[in-house]
This record gives sequence, C-alpha cells and structure tokens, in this order.
Amino acid sequence: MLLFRSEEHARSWHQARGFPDARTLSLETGWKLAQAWYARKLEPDWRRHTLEEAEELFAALGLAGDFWRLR
Amino acid sequence: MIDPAALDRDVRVTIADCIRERGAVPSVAEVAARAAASEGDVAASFTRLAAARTMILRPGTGEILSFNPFAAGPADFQVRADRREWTALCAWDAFGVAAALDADGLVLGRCADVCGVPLEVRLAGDAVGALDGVVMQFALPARDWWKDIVFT
Repeated sequence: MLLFRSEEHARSWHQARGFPDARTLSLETGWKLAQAWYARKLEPDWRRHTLEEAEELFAALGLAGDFWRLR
Repeated sequence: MIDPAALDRDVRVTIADCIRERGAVPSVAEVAARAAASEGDVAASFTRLAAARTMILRPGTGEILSFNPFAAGPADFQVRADRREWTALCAWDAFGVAAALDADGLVLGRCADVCGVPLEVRLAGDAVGALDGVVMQFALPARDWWKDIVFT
C-alpha cells in the first residue's frame, strides 16, 4: 500500500506497472482501516481477524466489491 | 514438553512488550532471553507465527522483518508516535503504528510515482492532515495480498 501525491500520480503508477485493478483510498478511509485492523495488535488477547470479520470490516468502511473479497 | 500454542502466545506477547517498552522489534535472542526459552524454540515459534501471518520474517535470517505494522529496521515509511520513531513497510502499516499505539502520529513517506515527492500525513484523533489530493493505493486485490506480502 503506497502513498501518492494525487489520484493522477496513482493512476500513472499502476498503469505503468500493469495493475489495472488497483484501488485508491482517501487518507481518512485508510486511517479508519488501520485503526480497525491494528488497534489491538499489541494486546495479549489479540488474534487475527477471520476472513468473515475482515470482509465485514472492509464493508463497514464502504470497501465493497470483488477487489475486497478475501475468498 | 513444549506446548507450541502456549509458547507462540508467550513469544507474541514478549514481542509486543519489547515494542512497547523499547520501541523496537526484538531479535530471536532477545525474545528467548525474556521468555526464558531456547533460541531454537523461539526461532521455531517465529516460523509458526509467520506462517499464521502474525508477522513477516526477513528472508534467510529467521529474524522479524515486520511484526505488522511495526517494521524492524529501515523501511520506506517513518512514523513519529508516542514520543518515538518507528518504521513501516507500507502506508497502511505506517498508519497502523499509530493505531496500535493508540497515539497520534506523523507519517513520513514519498509519492511512489516517479516524482518521489516527500509526503507527510498527520494523524490526530479521528483527523487526518496532509496536502490536498494525497491518496493511498492498493495495487493488488485483497485475496492476493499475502501471495507477496512484502510487495503488497
């Protein structure tokens, strides 16, 4: 997951490297995703999200569609 | 007789303790000393934890490359959070460092396009501050992320 100066720069990068399915996210959505994904990583009772939980987490942030499916 | 599941939990918690206390991802030797386990047992635990996608090992070494989101050593993203300097392999992990520490953060990286312009992102509570237009991009669909997690 990379940072880009703008959507135009992101598009230039993925077109040059052959990743036609690449998706851009706003920084706000990226921050919410990071918080939901990693908030408990240092806790003793941490466990990985199940596939179902991860897909629900994506969907709650509006990240829907085939690109965000894990199965 | 070692209980692998119990050891893996102890190793994971010890790694997290090192990150919180020292601000650094530990080595096999450090975890072994702190967890009162042999380096061989800890190395085997590292392998299991990597297979379970709890962390990523540095190829050919058996040491941690990233206890995601915390990278061990230099990486493309730097993060200032909780009064310390951290590194992360990707933008999502860089944001994740602040999230895991439950802290505000300053993420330092570069535009991945040819311009390579330095970019800063400030994370404060629910607010995000950066130059207008800055975005994150996922190149691969979610189901392919772990096929090459370092690239991802």
